[in-house]
Amino acid sequence: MKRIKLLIWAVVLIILDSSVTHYIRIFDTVPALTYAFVICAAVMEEDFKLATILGGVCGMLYGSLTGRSFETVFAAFALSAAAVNYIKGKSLCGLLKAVFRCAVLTILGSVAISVLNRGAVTALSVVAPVLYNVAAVLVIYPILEHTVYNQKKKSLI
Amino acid sequence: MSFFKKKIGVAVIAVLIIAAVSSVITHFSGTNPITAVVRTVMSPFTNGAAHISRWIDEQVNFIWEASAYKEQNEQLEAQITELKKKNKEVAVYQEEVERLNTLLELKNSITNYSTVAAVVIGYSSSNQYDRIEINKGVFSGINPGNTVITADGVVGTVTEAGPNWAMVDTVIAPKSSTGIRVSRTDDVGVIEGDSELCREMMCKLTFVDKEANIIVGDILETSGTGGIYPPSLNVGTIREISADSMGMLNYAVVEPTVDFSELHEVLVINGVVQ
Repeated sequence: MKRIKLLIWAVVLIILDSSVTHYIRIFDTVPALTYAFVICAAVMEEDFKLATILGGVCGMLYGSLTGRSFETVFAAFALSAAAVNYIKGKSLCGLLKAVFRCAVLTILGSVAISVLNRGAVTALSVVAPVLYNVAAVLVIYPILEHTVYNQKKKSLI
Repeated sequence: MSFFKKKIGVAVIAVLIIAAVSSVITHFSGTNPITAVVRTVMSPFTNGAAHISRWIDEQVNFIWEASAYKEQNEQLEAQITELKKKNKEVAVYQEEVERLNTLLELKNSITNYSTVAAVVIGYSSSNQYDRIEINKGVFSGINPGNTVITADGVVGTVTEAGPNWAMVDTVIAPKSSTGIRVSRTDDVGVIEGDSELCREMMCKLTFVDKEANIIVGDILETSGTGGIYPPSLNVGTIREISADSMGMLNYAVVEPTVDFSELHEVLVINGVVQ
């Protein structure tokens, strides 16, 4: 049941990513809802294999629908999910973990994209995606927690 | 080696292998089969989502720009009002141009007489169209006795003339009289004004042969006798015939061809070209 719910969430967010998010473009940046979902699920998921496969499947779907490089997106999503799920931090609550890891991975991704496109790495090209993705995590994490993982709320630390 | 034994190592290797295989397939076949399948399956959903999001975007934009639309609407309404006004003015000018063209054609067709164009600037105080005022007078060569016509027919005769004005008694004025000829039968007679018929913008035909065979609808033209009006100018149409008990003609009621209530420009014949 959990896998079906995760799959439904993934499909909905991917459709939103490909059809809707371009209407809320700020500083040429749109939120990466699917990526935020993958990070949140990887933080909450206890099964490493499921988290990695979920990341890979979302990467495949996202890469196919958005027309980005299929292999790059698939690898980025799958490896991000694997890394986030593997590094278990116990000091912070899940939401803060998701926010922090999403921010770090977004920074790394923005820098990598800028370098690959031979463009300048500006503060705006890094900060804007980070803020947008962190906002997406703050919205998606509680909803996912409530609808899929049914976890009780914990204290922040 | 220990890294590759850990699950993270296995995951990294698996992901890289899958990405590499996919890349090779795409390179040699030109398409990625997974991408093709996913796009085919998801196409209806993405179409629906795009349609809905576009609709929402339009509604949001509409609300967001409502005040701009309102201002634009007011500007456009003002423009439309202005254009309608100009349109009306253009229509009036066009009508005037047509009338003046008709008058010019009439002037050019009357080669034996000298003419002066004038504008009707007033009517008699009784507003019965028995007298009209025009804006040209002696200084323009207009004198009492001159004939006034339009393309429709005879208007009347100048009875008074000032430096830059002149009064014209129309054919329906009680004191006016005009020699006519019935165009169908060549019978001659006189059109006279009548104080009662003048209220209905009519006049009467008298002094015609009592045995003349005239009927309602007959056209009356100037006869040219008397030297006042050039011949063959339209005067009016017979609308009613009054006969005595023996069937002999008494008089006929004539409707002038000129509509005196719509007179704007007229032509005054003020002499003969030698």
